[in-house]
Amino acid sequence: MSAVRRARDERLTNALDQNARDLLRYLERRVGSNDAPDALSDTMIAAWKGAARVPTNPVEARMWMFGIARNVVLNHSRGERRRSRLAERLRESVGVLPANNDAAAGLDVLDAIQRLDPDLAEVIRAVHWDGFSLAEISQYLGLPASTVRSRYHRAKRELAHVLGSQVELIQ
Amino acid sequence: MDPSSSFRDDALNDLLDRAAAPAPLSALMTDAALQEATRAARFEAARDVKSRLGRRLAISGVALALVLGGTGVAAAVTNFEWPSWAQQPDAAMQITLPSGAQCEYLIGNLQNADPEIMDAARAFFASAPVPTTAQVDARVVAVHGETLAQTPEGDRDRRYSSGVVGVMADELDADLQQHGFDSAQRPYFEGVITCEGTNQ
Repeated sequence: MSAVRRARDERLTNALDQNARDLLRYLERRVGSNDAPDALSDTMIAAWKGAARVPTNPVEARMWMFGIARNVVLNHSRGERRRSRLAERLRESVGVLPANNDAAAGLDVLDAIQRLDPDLAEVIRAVHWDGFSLAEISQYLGLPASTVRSRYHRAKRELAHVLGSQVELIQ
Repeated sequence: MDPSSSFRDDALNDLLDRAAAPAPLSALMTDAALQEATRAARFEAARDVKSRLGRRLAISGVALALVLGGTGVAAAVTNFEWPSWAQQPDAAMQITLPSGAQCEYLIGNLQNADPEIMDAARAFFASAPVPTTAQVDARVVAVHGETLAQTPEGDRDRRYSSGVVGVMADELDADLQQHGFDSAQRPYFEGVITCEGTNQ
């Protein structure tokens, strides 16, 4: 193995190690806990297959991996799923998940987000659930920052309209 | 922006922040499991690529391929064609040869008339750890009467590769015995090692 390839593989290993939990959380919030191990497995495998393209800058490498995860989510939405041994091992390492006692909390807000155009909903989730800045989102979605900003403001306007009464109550 | 609009925006932000879907799996997953997943994904990716490119890789000569029989006898193969079982091996592991070459070692094509022995062997390979250098060295001493360090440099990688499959065979024998089987009934199995960075 060449020194260049070894360095690249080490870079990707480090990047995945540092971001795996965030990737899993991102995926879990979009495809659910049952399918998240498969989605993480697909994301990691796709990252390794594209290892030649992993950016050298750690922040860019992180956004590159979230871009892959986003594509995995889109494929998942289209019903393209596969069960892998890797995902089974991840499931087994956790065992039975605790029941979610907060399932009813924020259901109407979740519903409102889900009813948004999927491109708008992704920006809302990325900002408010994953803590990404609009600049980071534009990186992993591969879109101009102005497009992401415009989507975010449009989504907020639509949500404010739908959730108006709740917003007033909080005030 | 008027103050009431700013308040509404803050309130909406608060609502959206608190609506984050629960993610219990990512909270409970251990660092070790995630790190293992990273490494397993690397092998799975390599296997997927090899299943598509294996023939081309072998013929172009950039990969060293050995087919290793269950008896631990290794033979270099010319005009190597990727075996069909390698698309769904029973085990895949990474080893580093004494020369520093990084190799992937796939095991599969298990054959035995007894389905219980087959199940036990498959279970063994599914979780078998990668043989340590010390284990391989001991195996090399047992077969060749000299350590890897004493082995002529040109033979080290080949002896190491053979030693790995020998250790795996020994470990499988011990595992079968622990499960009440006769180790003489060890299933036939094959291994394929592909390496980059070696000319042996």
